[in-house]
Order: sequence, then C-alpha cells, then structure tokens
Amino acid sequence: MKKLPLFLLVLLLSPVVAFSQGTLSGTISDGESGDVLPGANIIVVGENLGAAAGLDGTYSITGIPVGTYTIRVTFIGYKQIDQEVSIASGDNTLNVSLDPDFTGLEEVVVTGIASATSKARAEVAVSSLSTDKLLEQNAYQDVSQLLNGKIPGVSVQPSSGNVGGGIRFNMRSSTGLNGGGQPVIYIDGVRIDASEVGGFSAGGQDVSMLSSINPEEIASVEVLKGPAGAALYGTSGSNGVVLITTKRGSLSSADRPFTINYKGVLGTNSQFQEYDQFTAGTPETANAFFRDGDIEQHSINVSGGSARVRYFASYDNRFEEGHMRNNKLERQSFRANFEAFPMENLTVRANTGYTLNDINRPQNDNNIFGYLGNTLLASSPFVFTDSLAIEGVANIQRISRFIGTAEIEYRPIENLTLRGSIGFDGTDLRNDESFPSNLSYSGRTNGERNILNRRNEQYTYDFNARYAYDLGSSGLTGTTIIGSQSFNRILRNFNFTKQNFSSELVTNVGAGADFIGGDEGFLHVREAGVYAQQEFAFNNWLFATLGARQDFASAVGADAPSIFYPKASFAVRVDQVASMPSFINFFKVRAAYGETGQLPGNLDGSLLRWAAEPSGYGAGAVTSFIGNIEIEPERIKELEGGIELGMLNDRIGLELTGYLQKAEDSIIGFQNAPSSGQTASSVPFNVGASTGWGIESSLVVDVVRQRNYGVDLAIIWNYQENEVDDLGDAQPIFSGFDTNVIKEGLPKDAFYTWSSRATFNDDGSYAGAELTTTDVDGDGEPDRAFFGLPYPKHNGSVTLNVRFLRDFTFSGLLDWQLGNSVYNNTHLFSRRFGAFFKRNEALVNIGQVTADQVGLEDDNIPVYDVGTEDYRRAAEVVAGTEFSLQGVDLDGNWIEKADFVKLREISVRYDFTNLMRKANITRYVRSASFTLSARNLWMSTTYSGMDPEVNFTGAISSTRASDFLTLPQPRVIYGTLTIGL
Amino acid sequence: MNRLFVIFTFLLAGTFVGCDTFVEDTDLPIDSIDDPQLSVETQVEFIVKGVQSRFSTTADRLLVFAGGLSDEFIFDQNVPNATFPSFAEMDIGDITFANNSNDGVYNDLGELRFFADNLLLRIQDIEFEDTALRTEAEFTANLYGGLARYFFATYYGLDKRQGGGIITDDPENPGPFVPSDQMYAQAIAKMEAARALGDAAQARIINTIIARIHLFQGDFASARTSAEAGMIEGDAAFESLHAVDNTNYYWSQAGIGRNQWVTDFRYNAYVEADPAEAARIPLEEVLGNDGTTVYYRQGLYTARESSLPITKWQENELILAELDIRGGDAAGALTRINQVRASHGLAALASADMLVLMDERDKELFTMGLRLPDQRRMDIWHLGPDTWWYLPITQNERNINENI
Repeated sequence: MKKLPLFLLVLLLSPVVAFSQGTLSGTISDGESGDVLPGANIIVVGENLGAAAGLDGTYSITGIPVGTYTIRVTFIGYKQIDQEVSIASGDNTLNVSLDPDFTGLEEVVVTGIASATSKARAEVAVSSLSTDKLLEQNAYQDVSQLLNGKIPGVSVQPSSGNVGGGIRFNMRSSTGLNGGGQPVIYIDGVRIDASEVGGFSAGGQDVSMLSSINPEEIASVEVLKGPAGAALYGTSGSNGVVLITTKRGSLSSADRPFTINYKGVLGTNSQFQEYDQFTAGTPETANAFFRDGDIEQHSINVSGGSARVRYFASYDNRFEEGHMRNNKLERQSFRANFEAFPMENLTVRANTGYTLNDINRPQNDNNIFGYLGNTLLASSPFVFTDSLAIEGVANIQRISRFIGTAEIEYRPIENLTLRGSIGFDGTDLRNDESFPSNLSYSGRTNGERNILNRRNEQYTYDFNARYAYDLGSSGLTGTTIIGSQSFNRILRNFNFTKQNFSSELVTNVGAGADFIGGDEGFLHVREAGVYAQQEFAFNNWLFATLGARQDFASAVGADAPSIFYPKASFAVRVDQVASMPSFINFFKVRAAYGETGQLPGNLDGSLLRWAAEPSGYGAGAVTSFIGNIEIEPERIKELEGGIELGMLNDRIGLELTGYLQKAEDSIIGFQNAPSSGQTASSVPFNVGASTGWGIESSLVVDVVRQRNYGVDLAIIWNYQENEVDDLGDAQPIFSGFDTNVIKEGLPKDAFYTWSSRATFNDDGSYAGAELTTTDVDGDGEPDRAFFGLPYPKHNGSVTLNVRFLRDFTFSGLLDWQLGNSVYNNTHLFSRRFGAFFKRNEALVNIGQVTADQVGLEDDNIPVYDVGTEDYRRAAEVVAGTEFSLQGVDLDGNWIEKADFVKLREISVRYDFTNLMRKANITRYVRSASFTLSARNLWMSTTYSGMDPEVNFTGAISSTRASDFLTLPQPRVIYGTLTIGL
Repeated sequence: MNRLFVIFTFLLAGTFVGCDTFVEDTDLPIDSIDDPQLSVETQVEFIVKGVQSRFSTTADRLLVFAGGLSDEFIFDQNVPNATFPSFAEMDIGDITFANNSNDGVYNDLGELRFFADNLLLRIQDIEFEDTALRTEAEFTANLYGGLARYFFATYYGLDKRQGGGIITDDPENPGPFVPSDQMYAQAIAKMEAARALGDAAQARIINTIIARIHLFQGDFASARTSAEAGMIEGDAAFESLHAVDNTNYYWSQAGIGRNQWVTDFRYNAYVEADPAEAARIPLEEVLGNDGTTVYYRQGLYTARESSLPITKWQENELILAELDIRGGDAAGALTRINQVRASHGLAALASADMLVLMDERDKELFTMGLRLPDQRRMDIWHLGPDTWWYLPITQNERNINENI
C-alpha cells in the first residue's frame, strides 16, 4: 500500500513526461551548391541522440527532452557546425547548410599520443588523409598506393613491380642513421608489424607485412612526420608515426536502418614498356614472359548504428595476377568494428580485422633462376636456367593476420577522460618454395622443398587520462594528459629444407630423401614509456604545449636503457589578433621541438656472443655477435616551424613547413679488421651524428565549385637534404654491394665509388680507360667519388579533380622525383655478358670490333674517323662501360640520374545517383557509380633502365636504388562499380 | 562506475612504476650465448668443434679459389650457371680488393685464427678434470692456429707478388702485415706445439704439412727431415669434413652443385691419354651454353658432405720424390712416384725427372690447392706479369687497418 501514492504520481505525470519531449527534423545541404548531403550526421551534444541524413538530405531525431541543446552537424569535407537550439515539445525544424572545408582546417587530427585537435589549432605539421573520395575513384592494392603523392614530406614506394612486394616510406629527410628510416605504424591504436619478410629468397624481393592491410578498410591516415610531432610516441618513433584508423559505423538515417555498399573491380596489370635491344640481350624472349594479369576485387560492407551502438562489418576479396608469370596475390579481408555508448560518459570500442593473404613471388633480381636474369643479360636466353624450370619454381607466402583492439573511454567527471586500450597484432606466415624434381636447377638435386613458418605477436597497451579545465576567466584553458604505453613483441620462426624427391608428383617435405638444413629463431622485446603533456590555449588564438616521455626498453645482457624525450610547441592564430588583408581568412604560425630515438638492437648491449654452427665435425661454437655494453639509443632532435594560410574564404589553402633534424649518438657499427677474427657483426658505438633539413609544402585550391562543375587542385612539393656529420673516426660504412655509403661529409646512403674515362694517344686514337680519380688522400688506393643520391632532393605531386556535367568526376595524380640516381646493375651485367648494346655499338664506332664480332646485325653502324668528335664520344662510351680497373669496381660508370615524372593515377567516374533519383529507384538502390581508372599510364625519366623506382634488394635495405634484373612496375587499368543499398 | 575509475587509476599508476621491470621480463635468445658461458669444461668440446667447423668453411673455399687463380680451374661464362664476376676476376688474376667472394673467405680465415687462439687462451682459465680433454683442446688450438697461419702465408698477399697475412690481437690496433716467411715460421711453431700433444699418426700429418712449408720456402734439407717423419702409406688422409648444411665448396661452386668453375682442359687430356687416370682425376662433362663446347668439372666431390683432403701420404711421398730428384736420386724418386701411382692402380713409369714429378703433383694433388704455390715456386705462372699471385688482402682490411 505504501507504493500506491508513488504509482499514482507516476500515472498522473506520465502525460506531462510524454509531452515534454520533442522531435527535431530538417534538411542538411551544401551551403554553396544547395545539394543535399545524404549521410551527414547530426547529434544532440551531451545526449545519446542523433541521426544521419537520408538520401533526400532529411533527418529526424525523436525523443529529445524539452530544453536548449547544442546541435552538432558534421560531414566529411565540410566545416562542422555547432548550433544552439531550443527544443519544444512536438515538432521542431532545423535546416542546416554546411560550408565546404576546402583546406581541411576543421578536420580533427591527432597531434600526439593522447591529443587531438582541429587542424586549425594544431601546433605541429600533421598530415591527414581521408580515404572517402580516393576510394571512390580508385581501388588500391596496398597502402603504398593509397598514400604516395598525397602527404607532404612523405613518399611511399614499392621496390619492384611484384604484386605484394616491399614498401618503403621516405619520411622527410630521414636524418637518423638507425631504424632503416621507417616510421612506426599503428592501426586503431595497435602498433603493427611492418616488417619485410623474405623467407626463401626469390632473388631479392621480400613481402611487406603491410601487403596484408586492405586499403578498403581504412577510413583515414594521419602522419606525424618527425620527432617534433611524434615525441610522445617515444623510442622507435624517430622516423615518424603513421596512424591508420579503420572504418567505423555511422548513424543510420530514418529511411535506411543500415547501409550496404558493394565495390567490384575488374582490371589488368600489363607491361608498362617493352624491352628492346638497348635494355635486354634477348628482348623478345623477355617480353614473352609478361602477360596481362587479371585483377578482380569484390568488397562489401554493412554499417549503421544508433545513438547507442554503431557497427561496421566488411568482407573483401582481391585476386590479382602480376604482369609477370608466377606472381599473384589473393587476399581476403574481414573486418568487424563496433562502438557502444552504454552510458553518456562511457564509450566501448572493439575493432577487429582478419586477413588471409596468399602471395606468389616470381623469381627475379639477383638470381640465376630469374625470368629477367635469363633474358636480359646475354645475347642468347636461358644461359642459367631452362625456361620450363624457371616457370616450375613456386614460392608462396601464406599470411593470416589478426589485428584487434579493445578500447574503453570513460568520463567520470566533466572534462576528465580516461582511456585504455589493449591491442594485438598476430601474424602467421608460411613460406613454401618448391623446385620440382623433374626439372634441372643448379644446386638442387632432384628438386627441393623449403618451408618457413613465422609467427609474430605484438601487444600494445595504452592507458591515459586527459583533463581539460579553465584557468580563471581570462580565456586561458588548460589540458593535462598523463599516460603510459607498453609494447611486447614475440617473434618465432622455423625453416626446413629437403632435396632429392623421387617424383615431382609427391612433394611433401617427407618425400625428400636428403635433409639440407633447418633452423629456428626467437626474439622477445619489450618497450614501455610514461608520458605527460600540458596544453594551454588562450582565447582561441594562442596555443602552447609542453610534454615529456620516459622510455624503457629491454636489452639482452644489459640493464634496460631508460631514455627521456622532451617536446614543446606553440601556435598563434595571427588572423585572430592582427588585421589581415581581406583575402586572408586564416593565418597560423606554428613551431615545435621534439626528441625521439631509435633503440639499439636487442643484442647490442651484450659483449661477444657465440652460436652453434653445424659442420662435418658436429655443431661447434662460432661467434655470432659482437656488442657494446655501453650502447645507448640514437637520439633525434627536430625543430620545425610553419605557416598555414587560408585565403578567399578557404578556397585557397597554403601550408609551408620547414624542419631541421639532428641525430646524435647514432649507433654506428664499427667493423673490426678481418684479421682480428671478430667480424661476426659490426660493433655498435654511439658516435654517429647527422643533420637533415627540408621544406615541405602543399597548396590546395578550390578553383570552381558549382552545382554542375567543380575543379580543385592540390600541389605538394618537398625538398630535403641530409648529411652525415660524424662517424667517430669510423671507416665509411658501405652497403653489401659496396655502392651506398654512410660517410662523414656525404648524404646518407650516397653512391660513393669509382668511375673511368677515356684516354687518347697523340694521334687521337683511343688509348684505354683511366680512373676519373687519383690517390689524392695518399692511402695507396685511388679515391672514391660521390655519384649521387639513391633518393630525391625534390619530390612532389599534383592532384587534379574535375567534376563536370554534375555526375562525372575526372581525377588525376602526377608525381615526380628530382635529384635521385639509380645504379643500373642490369646494364653492368649485360656488359659483362657481352650483350650491352650501347658498348658494343661504341666498340664498332671506334673500330675495335666489327658488328659481327659483337653479335650486332645492323651493318650500318658507322666507324668514325680517329680524332673526330663522334670518335671521342664513342671512345668515352667504351671507357665509361668498363667495370673494373686497377683493382677497383667501376660502379660509378653505371650510376645514372633517375629523375622522373609519372602519371600515377587517372580516373573518370560517373555517379548514377542523380539519374536514379530521377528514375525514382533510390528507394531500392541508394547509390551507384562506375569508374574507369589507370595507374602508371605515362612516365618521363632520365633513367635508361625500365623503372627508376625499383631496388633489387627489396624495400628496406642498406643497398638502395639498385636496379638489378628487377621487375618494373606495371601499368594498371581497371574499372570499378560501386552500389550502395 | 567508481569501480572503473579505480581500475583506471590502478592501471595507470601501475604502469608508471612498473616500466623497467616490465621490459626486463623477457625470454632470452635461444640461438646464442654470452662469451663467459663458454668458459667451462663442459663447453670445451663445443668450442673445439667450432674451430674445426670454421676450418672446414675456410679450407674448401681457399682451395677452390687457389685452383681458380692457378691453371687448375677455369671460369668461363659459356659454362651454364657460371656467373660470378668475383670468380672471373680470380681466373684472370685481376682481382679487385673488394672482391666479395674473397672477402668472405678472408673473414673466415681471420675467424679461424681467432677461434683457435681464443681456445688456447680460454683453456688457461678453465680448471679441467679431464686432462685428455684439455690436451685435445690444446692440440686443436695449435694445429688449426698453425693451419690458419699457413693459409695466410700461402694464399694471401699484400700486393700482387708479396705473400703474407695479418694477425690482429687488439682490434683497436690491427696489423701489421706479416710476410709469408714470418707467417710460415709462426705456422710451424704452432704445428710443432700441436705435434707434441698429438699421437703418432697426428704427428706424421703435421710433419707432412711442415715438410710442405719447407718445400715452398726452398728449405729442402728441413723439408726432407720433416717429410721423412711424415705420413706413410696406409695413413688416413687429413681432411676437411663437411655436412649437408656445411657444404663442400667444390660441390657447390665447382661441381655438380653449380658449375661455376670447371677444370682446365689438360685434366681431360690426362684422362684421355690414360683412362686409368680417371681413378684420381674423375671428371664429368658439361656442355657449354653455345651447345658445342664440352667442359669438364671435377667429379671427386659428388655430395655436399664429401670430405676434402688437406694432405695425404701420397703428397709426402711426392715431397720426398722431389727432394730425391733435387738430390740427384732419380731412381729413388721413381720408386716413390710409382708407389703413389700404384695406390690408384696406375701403371708404373719408367723414369722420373722434375717435369715428370710436376706432372704427378698436378694429377695427384688435384683440388688440394697446391697447384698455385707450385706454379709460383717452379716459375710456371700462366697469366700475365701484372696479375695476382695471391688473393689480395681485402678492401675491408685495408679500409680499417692503418698499419698496412
């Protein structure tokens, strides 16, 4: 009975409660064109309420308690609107027009490990790439294709034309001497394995673990390009941090509780340029190995959500044959991402992705079983391996990979956010290689079977707290962040080889009669760091941040090194405090300083280590590593400054950043003299120092934007330099092939070798070659000379998007590199085998041989008179195509300038959506489009080889820009159909 | 929700204080150990095998390269799978300092010397319960330390005509260059120390090697003294042992594994002249890329794990035969030569002189790396005057070692 009054009270008040809620509805449209914006999100801030605009741009949010709220309207590519609205009971109407965000200033970008802000307030140069538009126009094979040419200060290159090949990031000036110049990559907060895995060599090209990342799953990529931005990511972040966020569910609209998107791709990879007598010993045979490789991709995703739960699930299957036989990729990707908001102050997220990726690698590069090695070098084909045997080699990497994060975000009090996440990246890789027993292979007796298993586990733990507060009434606000981050990696691998198979039909490893080899490896490393950051903002025009991180890392045989990294940055919105010309609507100046580092190798802190080596005597102890117990991490300091301008109401955006990087305590491997017998490894010392600097810029212009027409343009230009300042009296460090060097006074990895030129007798006749250098330094040997850089000084891109006749979109990306060189080892070896046309022709020109003697069929090759200019020029060619003289290798003769400009991407898209609207079928099919795209359609280069971007030792190697029988990149043409339901 | 706050606070605080212990809690590598862990008696056998293993990876390559630099083997790109420019350089005696094939074996030779000398030092610090083990270790260290020095003296040179090598005990102050004569003296001292520790058969092997050195140096009296105490018929050859995963380099680069080096055509002529010679010079035909030229690869080492003789009693007899001829005892020499030939079922010769002896050495010591020093000392060099008689001390050594 005591409950009765309460029951009556509820009953009496219930109509009041019902009538105290209102509904908000309206239309969201483009403020300039008036087009409706299907999919735009509108939420009631502070309430778990919101909706997405339907196909007609309308939305409706029901059940809003009567009161005054801030309504936030967002859509990718548009400026966010926060608008105060009073909700009365019953129906309320709010029509919203969003202004385009041409320059991305409204975009929220990550500026540190636990900090994010709009680009307009960012104190560091952060580049952010939203994939929406790009994935509408293109179907990328991997993240290198997605990113290249789109981010100032960063280029991303494949190392060959292999489908599923290696990927190299070139980050700013890559000043540090350690870490391979590669950034740390996170996907949804998980630090992922971005290794290149060779397994059983196919000649030089390894498989990047990034090939298992499906670009279709990526929503955005943010890049912190150096220590100034990445300091709070700590050790290993000295070459920058790449943060990949996968797609998430979004609010459903009233007319569609969920959306389904299908993307289908059909296309071909084909030979970009055929070999000819200048580039191949047997060009017709070489070209015959190329094919039009099929590309077929099917991608489907489902997404949706309410104010409480959002979800995104996708499946993608990409089948891609390379333009050379035996090269294939078959990748299946599954993704399921969930977000839940069980309470107003609690968010729970789970991001999971699973990939199955099978990659067949062709034999090429430094390899007697290679397609190109057997057709480019000699004047007759297959001098090393029969064509059937080349085709018979199967090298397959099968990768299964899971990347997942569980994340919880809790706001116990206003302005305090606690965030914790645990992430896992687990990769199982199996490499199978088979040489059939019925075919003949040098060094393989009756066939060979190789098996490699590699299991990599990476755990990332991240906990942080962020508290924002006002500091009095002066307009000064503060944000304090503290946090910790830990990383745990366990890597195991195992390999096994047998030979002598009785039948090519039974190929399990147990069928091999001869054990050839087997081994295993194990690595366990951990890193952990704690960090704190204090941010200040004053009246929305002055922003400043101080931060620091203390890192710890595991080291075998030594105490865990502890490293301190500081950072500081500020930005001033000049347009807020000074009068600006009317055409400037945004002007920000920023500066940042930060330090990060690169860890020593796991064993670097130990002294001398011994391993077991099998032999005819049994396994014996041999040295395996020589360390240094005093080794410390390399430290990179970076100072960057920049300006950002928005003009003509943000129709023009200009961003200019300059940076200076200093690497100290770089770990230099001192090679002991071989006569010491201690050459199992180089000995690490913290003696290196280097400097790098550069400028990166971007210009975004929204030229025209009308209902039926639009033109926008983005130009990126980067300039970078670096120089090795100090090696602590160590001898120069050469790459494995003795061409790239780390040497005081030279840029990192510079080509540093010898070359030759012609000498002439008194009568003008050719008298042989001589070195272009002498022994000036008096060390008893001819001096080496600088022959250029394996990476560009200038690079950049132009992106042009043209929308015409309302529903057509043309998009093109042109990128270039200037100031880089390539070591053409293919031509060198062709010359060694006597099939290098340029030399043979020159030999005929100066009368040293007849055309017949060098296998040239052309009887019209002229023989020049001694002493003429033509004769001297031909003689210089002869001298300049020698490969050794006076005990040194003349690699400099084969290093060429390799500037290039490539039409990297081009596409034309037709969007059927408006047509379907007119036909009134959008109730069944929400959207549809067809795109015809091409990649690598055109190139102009100073390089005489086939592709100035390749490297025969893979993407991440101390040997750089060396073209040696490496597969050039293909031309890709494909069509894409998208359907939205 | 207070529980969440407590958990968060606890985790955050925990990670702040536990970073260093977290990173130190890792599993150790399974494939290598720290140096001090070897300095116990139970690991001595492991170290001994390491010295022998490095000997095997050094000896086979040096012998192949010595054969390539001499007139024993030829490199021709017309031979299928003959591709290495580094081998081409050796074949014509125009060897760059940075020749990477030479670089690899020079590094291994340095390691062999270091492993052997390091073993000798390490056993001083170990308290042995098993004295036989200590003796074995000391014997191994001295024998292989001596062989390493012998290899330096015989196969390496600072310049084209100056043989010798470098021993560096202090990596921060490498060098200096030690000419062949001095290096041979060091080799002999080491081997004599080993001889004192070995059994009778081992002593005879060492005496044969010492006799060889004296012969190279032209010290014929000492050579005779050593050879007379050297190997005798019935003694097993002293060999470099190989395994499937530590392959005989003749098999992998000058044989069935890969035909980079093939024999000089005169070896086939030997066999064609007397088919019985195939017993000691087994050859296999290889058709050239041109489809017409027939080459001949060695057929002695037909498996990856084939053992490679370093010395054998026949060599000792031929040393003595040479000394007999030099001493005017042609009849004595003929007896020894025929004894060697009989061991292969070859018919006896009717006479012997220095030319006959050199032919017999050429055939009997085929693939043993002795043709190169024989060509030098007998003045029968087959290449031009400006060619290398030795493998050059490498670019890496020259870059780092300021004392040469």
